[in-house]
Amino acid sequence: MSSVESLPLDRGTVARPAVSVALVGVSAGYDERPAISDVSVDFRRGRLTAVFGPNGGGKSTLLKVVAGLLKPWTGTVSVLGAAPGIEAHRVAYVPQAESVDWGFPVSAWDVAMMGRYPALGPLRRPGRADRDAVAEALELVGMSDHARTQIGSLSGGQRRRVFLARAIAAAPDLYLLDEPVTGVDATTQEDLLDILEAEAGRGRTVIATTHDLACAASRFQDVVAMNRTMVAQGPSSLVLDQDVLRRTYGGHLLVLGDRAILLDDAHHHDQAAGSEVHHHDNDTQRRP
Amino acid sequence: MDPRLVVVSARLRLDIRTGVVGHRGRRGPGRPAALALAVTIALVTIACTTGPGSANPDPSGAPIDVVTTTSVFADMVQQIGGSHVRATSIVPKGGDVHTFEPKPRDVQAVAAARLLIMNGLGLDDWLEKTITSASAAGTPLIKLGPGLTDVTLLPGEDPGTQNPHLWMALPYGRRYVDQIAAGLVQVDPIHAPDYTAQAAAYTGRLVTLDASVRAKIASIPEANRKLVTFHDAFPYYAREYGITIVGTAVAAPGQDPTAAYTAQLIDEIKADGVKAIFSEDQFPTKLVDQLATETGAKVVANLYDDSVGDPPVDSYEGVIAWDTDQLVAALK
Amino acid sequence: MLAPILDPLAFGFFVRALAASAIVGVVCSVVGCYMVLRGLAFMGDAISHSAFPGVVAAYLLKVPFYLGAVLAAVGTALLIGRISRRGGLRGDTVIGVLFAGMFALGVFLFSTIRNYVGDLFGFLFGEILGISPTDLITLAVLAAIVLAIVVVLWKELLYSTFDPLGAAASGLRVGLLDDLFLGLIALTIVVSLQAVGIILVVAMLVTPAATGQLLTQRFGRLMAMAATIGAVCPVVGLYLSFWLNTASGATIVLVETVLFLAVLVLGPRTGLLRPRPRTA
Repeated sequence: MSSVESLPLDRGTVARPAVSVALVGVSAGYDERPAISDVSVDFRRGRLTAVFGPNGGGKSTLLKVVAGLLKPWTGTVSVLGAAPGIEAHRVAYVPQAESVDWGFPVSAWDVAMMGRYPALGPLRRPGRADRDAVAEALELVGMSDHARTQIGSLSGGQRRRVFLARAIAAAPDLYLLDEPVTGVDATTQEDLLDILEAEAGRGRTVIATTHDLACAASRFQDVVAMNRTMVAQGPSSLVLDQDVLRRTYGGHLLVLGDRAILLDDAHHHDQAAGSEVHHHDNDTQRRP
Repeated sequence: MDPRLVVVSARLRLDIRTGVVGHRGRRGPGRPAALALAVTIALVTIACTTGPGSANPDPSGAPIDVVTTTSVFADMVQQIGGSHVRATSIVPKGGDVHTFEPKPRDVQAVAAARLLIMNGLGLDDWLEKTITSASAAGTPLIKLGPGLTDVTLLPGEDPGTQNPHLWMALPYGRRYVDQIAAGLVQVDPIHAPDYTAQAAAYTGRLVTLDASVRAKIASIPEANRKLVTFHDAFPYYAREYGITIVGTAVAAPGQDPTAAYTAQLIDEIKADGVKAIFSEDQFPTKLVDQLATETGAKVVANLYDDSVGDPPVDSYEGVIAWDTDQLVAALK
Repeated sequence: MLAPILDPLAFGFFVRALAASAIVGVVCSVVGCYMVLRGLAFMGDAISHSAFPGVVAAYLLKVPFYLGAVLAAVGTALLIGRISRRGGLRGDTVIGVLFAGMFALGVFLFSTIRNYVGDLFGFLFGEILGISPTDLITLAVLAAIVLAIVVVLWKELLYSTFDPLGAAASGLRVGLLDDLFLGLIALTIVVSLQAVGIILVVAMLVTPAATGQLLTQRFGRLMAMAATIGAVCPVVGLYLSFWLNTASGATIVLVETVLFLAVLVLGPRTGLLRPRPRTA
């Protein structure tokens, strides 16, 4: 059985931000196979939260449950005060890069404008306010110059920016991003994270999955470690907690000077103790 | 300016504009779609209200156009109408009326016709819609088959249907002639005396032919008067002239017979000792050949019924005479 | 010199055929744009072929043909969607199974009819020359309904086509839109049966949109180009069939196909005229 570990409350003068997304005892999966089991976790407004863990550990599934795309088998889910999907207009979901048809005849502008569609509803055409929102969103992600370019002609990083622009244009209260900075150049990564941080600063809830531990440790405020079940939840310093890492990845964190190496036991993803250590180097650098 | 020209150019202009409007991609495709819709609605309105008025009677004496469904009827019309009439058929010589797809020229001919002639009773009914929607308002359409109200119709293959091939019996053919003549008189009363005279002469020839057919068929030994043809065009001929129809290769032209049907037919052919199986001009011969192989009967090509052929079978009289001669030669 | 163009317009049947085929062309190509982007070309063929048993059943039960066609087409479309989702089989597998099965059902039912059935042949290849004023109005009304639905929902359909997950997560009823779209395809096909028939209608759906894809990378333009092609090609095809005295439905489809090939060979993106990268 797993347990949710929270670090002691920081009893300062600042009130803890409200919980906007809460899962209790949630299990879900595809066909008959569970991808996540008995997961209980909170996400808070105004916080930038990373969900990390090994591949196949259920991170994407967790996001899909919160997004209302997958119905859980057990447990309760509360998203912005209601069941998943009820407040969908206030949710922006940015999927992993692979699930999109890049040959589609739409430009960056068109994609960003799609973020405005759900709020418009049928029959209404995008108006002035929508165009302004899209222009601002594209400006924010640095894609104004490429607004008319077909998305297939854009680089990977540029495509991520466009999809983030779509999310921003929707003016959501909750961002769900599946691997938003995986596989993009460093500049894009930094820019995207800056934007997400700013959005969190405006009181939005931002949840992103990642398997980049350095990024999770340095750029996110809260983290959730999961590997089919919950391992831990707390401030981002948890990423460096050896015990957490072992239970999440089954491996060790070695700290050498200013570099940290995660010895990831690549073949055993459950929490069995005494597993072999494979020298599967996963370099994580701490930001200076 | 011809209003139809205005319509054509308006559509072209609008289509070009539609392309230009569509460049504003972010406004979405709704506008071009709506524009195209508006244009075509306009066109529909115009299309439903234009069209030729009643065909004007031609005072110059040029032959009037009469369109029939089959080439047999076209010949009948031509015999009665003579030089005052130009008769054409939708289904060409050698075509199969049951599955024919009319092309633009055919429909155009219908639109220009002063008189329209079809058989009805299931032979060519599916052409009726094309005929009535293309024809000029007020153009009479004669249905020859239903015109014979007092005749006992033979049943068709499907329960509740009739066999339409009435003209294969010459007495009925003469009544077709009467209806055609009446139709011609109605649309072209100026030449009524000619039509009446020509119809009478034609009928006389048909009476003579009828006697000849009876005599020839009577010369076939009764035991041999058994007929298997491609499709059921001959029941009225058989009833009139004393022949037994053992079966037909297909129940309905246009689709192959089922295995059970063919098996049963083969049994009947053998049981009745049928000597000859007749293919028909407008149909492929494969099925008939197969029946002959299975039963040892002889294949005789061809009989004519729904369509005329090349001379000497290029007329209604030719069709009946030829068929009779073929039967006599094969069954005697 | 204008006579070859003006002369056929003297005939009501020709003007109606022009109007009907243009309307059908436009509505098919508009729906076809989404179809092509969703990869539903094969599905479209299956739905059209499944109208055949509906027509035959309607004949046997003595109900209006179009009723049978609509029910069979819509039913098959939804069935394909359901089975794909639940059965875990690939879409084209399910389509292949139902496509052949439904058409065979049609032939099976057809073989029980012993009478002459020239009416039913019209559905296989179309009878554009036999369109009556009533037919034209019915067709126009149904086409207007389809186009109206597309106009109302075009952005929802676009979003759910492009990114079903993202669209669903932001609140669009993607499953409902998918079913609705299948229903639209079926309705479009039934509307088009009289123009080109069951065998060829998939060409009217897919070819203009495919040609548009060769010419543009913008969705709005794609839709406009496809609709224009869908309106103009039938007019050209009908005139050609008139001058050459050939089957009208097939001539229309050939015109659209030839245009596609011409754009492919000559066009700016894929053809001889495409800009070549300069080598240093």
